[in-house]
Amino acid sequence: MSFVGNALVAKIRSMYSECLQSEDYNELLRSRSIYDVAVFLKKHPEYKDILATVSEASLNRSRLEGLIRRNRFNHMLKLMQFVTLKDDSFYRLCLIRMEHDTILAVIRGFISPDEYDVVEQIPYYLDRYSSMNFLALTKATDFKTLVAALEGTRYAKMLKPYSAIKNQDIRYYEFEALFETDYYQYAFAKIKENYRGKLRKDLEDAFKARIEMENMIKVYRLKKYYGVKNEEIKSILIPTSRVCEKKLDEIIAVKDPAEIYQKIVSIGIGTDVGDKGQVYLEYYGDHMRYLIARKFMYFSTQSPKVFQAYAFFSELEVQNLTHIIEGIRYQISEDEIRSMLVF
Amino acid sequence: MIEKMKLVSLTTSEKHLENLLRYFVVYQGFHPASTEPIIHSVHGAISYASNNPCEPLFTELLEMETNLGLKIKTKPEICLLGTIDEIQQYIEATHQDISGAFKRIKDAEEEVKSYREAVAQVRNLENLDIALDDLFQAKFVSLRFGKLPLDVLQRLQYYTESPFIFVPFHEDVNKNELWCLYLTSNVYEREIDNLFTSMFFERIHIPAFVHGTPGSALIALNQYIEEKENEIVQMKADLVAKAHTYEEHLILVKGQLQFLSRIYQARQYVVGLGDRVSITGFIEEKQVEAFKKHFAPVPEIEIVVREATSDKRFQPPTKLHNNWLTRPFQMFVDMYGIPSYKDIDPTAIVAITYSLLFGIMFGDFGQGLAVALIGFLLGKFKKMALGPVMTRIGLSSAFFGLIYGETFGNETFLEPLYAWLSSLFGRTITPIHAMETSVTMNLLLATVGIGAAIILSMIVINTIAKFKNKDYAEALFSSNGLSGLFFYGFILIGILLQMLFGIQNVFTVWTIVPFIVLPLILIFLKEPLHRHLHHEKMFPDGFGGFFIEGFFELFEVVLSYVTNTLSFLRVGGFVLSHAGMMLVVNTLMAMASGAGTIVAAVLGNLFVMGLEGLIVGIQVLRLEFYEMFSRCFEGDGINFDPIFKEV
Repeated sequence: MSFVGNALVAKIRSMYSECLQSEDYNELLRSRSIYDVAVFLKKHPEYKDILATVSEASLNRSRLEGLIRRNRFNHMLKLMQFVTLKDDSFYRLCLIRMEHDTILAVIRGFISPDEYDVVEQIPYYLDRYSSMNFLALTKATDFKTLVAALEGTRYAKMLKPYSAIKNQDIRYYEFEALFETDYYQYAFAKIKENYRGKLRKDLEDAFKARIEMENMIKVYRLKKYYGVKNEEIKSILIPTSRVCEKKLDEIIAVKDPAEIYQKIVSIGIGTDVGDKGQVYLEYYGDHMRYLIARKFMYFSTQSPKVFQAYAFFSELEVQNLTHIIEGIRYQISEDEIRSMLVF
Repeated sequence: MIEKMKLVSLTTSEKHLENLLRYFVVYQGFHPASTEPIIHSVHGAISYASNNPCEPLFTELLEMETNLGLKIKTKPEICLLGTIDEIQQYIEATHQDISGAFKRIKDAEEEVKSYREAVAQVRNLENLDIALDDLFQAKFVSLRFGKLPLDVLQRLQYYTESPFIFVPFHEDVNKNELWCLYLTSNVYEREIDNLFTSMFFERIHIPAFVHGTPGSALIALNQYIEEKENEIVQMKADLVAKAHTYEEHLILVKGQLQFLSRIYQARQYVVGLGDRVSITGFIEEKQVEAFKKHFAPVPEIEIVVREATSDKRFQPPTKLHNNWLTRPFQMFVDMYGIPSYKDIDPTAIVAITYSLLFGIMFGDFGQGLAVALIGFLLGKFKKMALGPVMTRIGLSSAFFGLIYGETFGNETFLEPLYAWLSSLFGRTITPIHAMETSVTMNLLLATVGIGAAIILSMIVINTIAKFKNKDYAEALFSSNGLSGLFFYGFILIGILLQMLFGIQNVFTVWTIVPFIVLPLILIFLKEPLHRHLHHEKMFPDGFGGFFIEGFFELFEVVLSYVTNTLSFLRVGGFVLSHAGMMLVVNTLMAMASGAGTIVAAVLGNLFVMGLEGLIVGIQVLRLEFYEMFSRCFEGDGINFDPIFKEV
């Protein structure tokens, strides 16, 4: 590996050392108010800079969550700008995800009530680093204007077939799946373009494992909340070469969504992670990814793997903190909040 | 060394539980065992753990202390003067009495704070010659003063078409905020207010009593703030006077709460079976008599003392006990992990090897003494744990400095000493200069030799420890056991005999088979033999898979002997590096003149001590952890942690 790659690995590991640890989460779980969370984070090395000038007394839930997300963005950007590598395009993956989230937020605006403020939902600080015109995007009112706003980006071509779709006919989950597919296609293309041998295989495996977990969560959600038919569920899932069609069919065929977790473990495409997986399926997916990321972070010396691990850990941290903040806000018990956290 | 422990059980009938706990909570040095193994293995056993009702009361007490700026001293109680309900009532009543006055102060302070912000805001309008009343009483327009976080300003550009006018005043970068106002028509008031709220706009209200132009408003506001502040000072004085009337009783209450809290804490370790209750845990062997004496006033308590390892359900804790010389090095052992009770305490080994290796690598009489002095001062005045370690390794460094003849890199300073020693012993005594060509190679070989001897010692220590723990498979067949000892020891002896005495026929078929081939076969078969000793199937997953895996593992074992031994080359490397760096300092000193020579000497020595001292310290630690600890020490013990350390 190049010296630049080594430097990046060292930088990532040093930044990872500042991430929240289990004792920090235990401390945060004891918080009784958003104020307590803010006071704790303000003293923590990872957040002290972004919260330094913010008065903890004036912080509310959404402001704190926004700052936490912004902090993650700043950290990822810092890493991307730390060195110039020939495989830069792979490291841009997290920005691609943010672009997708932005477009999805705009699409949500088409099917939401008038009070929905799209600007509030998007990471507007991304516009300096993206080819999309954020100002034009926020003015879009339907797919036709959205495609026009995206002119010149690869997303315009992707969404052109939907130009004629009316707002009342939008099935949001289809677009979630569309962007998810695009994300993974981009990831696999960049892995293929930049890496060879075991590194390529390891990275592909990590992404495939992630797709499989997300597929399972999708099956669960589509069954439980949308009542989507089995055939349609299958068409939405992203196929991977690792889980055979027969096993996938078996999972989709499970009638009670609550039994999906046992099915995953019983047919041998996942590892039993104990009670928590049973209680909360999303936890299971995150826990599996956590195990892979931890392996990359601790044992790998290859910067793309370590970077991917950091990207995941930082994303997980935002998610964990959001669970804690929302949990406190809605007065959920400490044990229930804990069951949603992965650390 | 590791302190000897005893497993003790305190048993009594349920009706004497309170009495048992009263004595138990004031005993220091009892490491309780978890009740779970007993509850899971004994049918009908129950736990006495319950929520500690003192926690919220402590929180309330702490809140009072903070509010009043008091420090309620702790006065330990060993008996209760009232029930917990009475204590609770007293605390709540006191708190309520104080909190009313305290809240009034807080409200007043908040009011002053908001008026100060209003002052800052009105200052932004100071140049306007319009009465504030006119601004606020406009018929069709709504006006809001306030602050916006600077990081959301970027969002404003997305609302250029929204019906509002935004007027920025000034930025306070330190507080990340922009003082500003916005105007909108009454029709859009709600919509625009929501928009700005979503951008975390903090509104500042201009008090209703403020009239006239901004200039006159400022005068009125400042006057009001001054009056309010005087009022706050008076209220605070009254509150402190009131608090002192409660203080004495609060001290008593706090002591009782602590006592109660300990009782509840201790109940977690109580197991009940029928009408008998017991607490099980570990105490130091030397404390057994004192322990019995402590509970002697309560004859109903039965004390059973057993060997620490007699009950497999409990893991005995480890308490390291070392003398003043080696104790500071315990921090390195703790860093790696606590040795298990049956293991050996590696602190003394660390103390010897760390000092020896550091001394060899950083040998300089003057710098060594300086490090020792700095260490002593850091330990004495800053209470730094590393200070005493620095003192010891500094002295070792000074000793080796005498062997190398170096004092702050100067090789002539100690010459009179060697001349005196030579005359004393009647033979020429000269220091060893690492940079001399005749010395360098021998030095490197000697360091590898020291390394090999250390590794061999670690294997011997591990073998003894494993035999002691009756782990015969590890003791006999492991690469760090007897097989490894024969293999590695024989090769070392063979090489030594060849190099020092020229004996060439050490490695013959008669010696290679028993001392190299046989140990390697045993190391290769360690896992199957371990299973065989435990009456299990030797190859549960077939021989093929085992062979492939075992072959590569054996390869790694042999390779690790070589790499671990050569790893000690760094010791010699750093001796040369130190000499080299000091050569540079001496050259710089020679190039400078007058005061420059002293500056170069001081800075050069400080630089070498700081940089090289740190690197050598880390490198020795690396050798300790990787080449030594990994062979004889697992660090899977638990720390001896008494439930109550002080009364």
